Amino acid sequence: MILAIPLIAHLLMSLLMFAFPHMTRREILFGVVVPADFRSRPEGRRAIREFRFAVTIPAIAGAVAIVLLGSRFLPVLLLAPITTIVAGFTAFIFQNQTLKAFAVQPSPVRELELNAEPERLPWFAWLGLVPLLMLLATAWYLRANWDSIPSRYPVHWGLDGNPNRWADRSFRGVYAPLLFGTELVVWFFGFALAVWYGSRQSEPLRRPIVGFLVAAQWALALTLAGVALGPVVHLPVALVAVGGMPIMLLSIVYLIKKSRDPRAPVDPTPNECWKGGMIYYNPNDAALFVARRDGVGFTSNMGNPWSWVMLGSLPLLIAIGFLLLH
Amino acid sequence: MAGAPRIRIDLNSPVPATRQIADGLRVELVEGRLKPGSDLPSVRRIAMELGVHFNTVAEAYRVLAAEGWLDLRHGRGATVVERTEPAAASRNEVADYRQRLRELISQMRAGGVSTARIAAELRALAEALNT
Repeated sequence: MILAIPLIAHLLMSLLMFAFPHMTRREILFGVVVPADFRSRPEGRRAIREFRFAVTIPAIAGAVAIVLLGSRFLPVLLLAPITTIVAGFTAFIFQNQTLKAFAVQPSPVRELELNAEPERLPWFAWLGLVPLLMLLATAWYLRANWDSIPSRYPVHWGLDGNPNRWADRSFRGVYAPLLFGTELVVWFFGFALAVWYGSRQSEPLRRPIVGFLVAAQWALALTLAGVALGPVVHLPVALVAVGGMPIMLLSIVYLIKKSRDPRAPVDPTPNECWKGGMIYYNPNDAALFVARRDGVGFTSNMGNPWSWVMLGSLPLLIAIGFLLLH
Repeated sequence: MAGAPRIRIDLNSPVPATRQIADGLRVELVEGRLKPGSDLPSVRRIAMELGVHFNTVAEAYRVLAAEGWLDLRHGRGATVVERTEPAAASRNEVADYRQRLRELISQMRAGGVSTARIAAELRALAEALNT
């Protein structure tokens, strides 16, 4: 029974990899801009078939390994999904190289209306500041109920639902989840601003992505406020763990819907600036974010030094958060 | 003549993007679609939308500022200013412009545009200059 969760996680991951070529709009296959009917041509069908085969084999082998060896050899629980992901990405890059022969060159002509009106953030971006108030209110509540906090209480639970890590009633023990939440919410707010001001106005996914980032801020704040309140208010562990998920899922559904809009223009980035169909590197493009070619959403322009600063700062913040929490 | 001012560049053109941007803006300025007092978008915005580097746009703005068309504001966009009428071009300068015009016409003919069509285009441009 204990193997059910990793097995389901592995199967979901495999399913996600299987669906990978279908996450983009029809004109983009394995990171290559192709004619709209290419997927139904023999070359397109063959590429998708080969990719699926490359994912299916490790997916099935991984599932069998989890069932047969999972209880005796724990690393298999991680190795199985990782092998499937690596196989999927390798197959993706291979197909990307193969399909380059069929690539359609985006138009090199760019036009711009000379409008100097200042750009305004969408109103909902400001909702990203509400999670900070949530965390602040949680901190205030904990301060007011300080004496009700047990001197030692669980803060982490294993897959079997039993606690496996405890904290004590100290400033760090009580407020660490809120401090971690604050730094993440602030980072996500900054990231949303960077997405808005660092992408092209013609990019139809700008608004949905800012919406997704706001949803992520809310989900993070709800989860970490739930964790912080744990010692005082006895919330169900499952509710705290996945309580913010519905907001995220709604925003993802909206994002996917918008990304598949056939009326939206295909991103005009030059083909030669895409590495493996996944990494965009163009030092001559001022855009910080462009539409992904390997899925839904944006990717950073790695030719822009600010991308490195931004992407490097997140692991740093997470590391600080873990130091706070442990 | 109507319509919002626009610029258009071709990233595959042998003409550098800086010059294409400066030329495109100059056309809008000379033809009066960009009037004194109008604000231009920031360097960042133009660079982002056209998919070029900031310096490419900044250089085009500097060229036009040096010609007296724009007032540049640090960190922001640029404003079109009333340009003082330049002194009449010298005979050599006119000869230089004529030579460039001839080169352009040759390029058009080499590209398959008929002489009648070129003449019609030139006439239309000349008439627009007089109105």
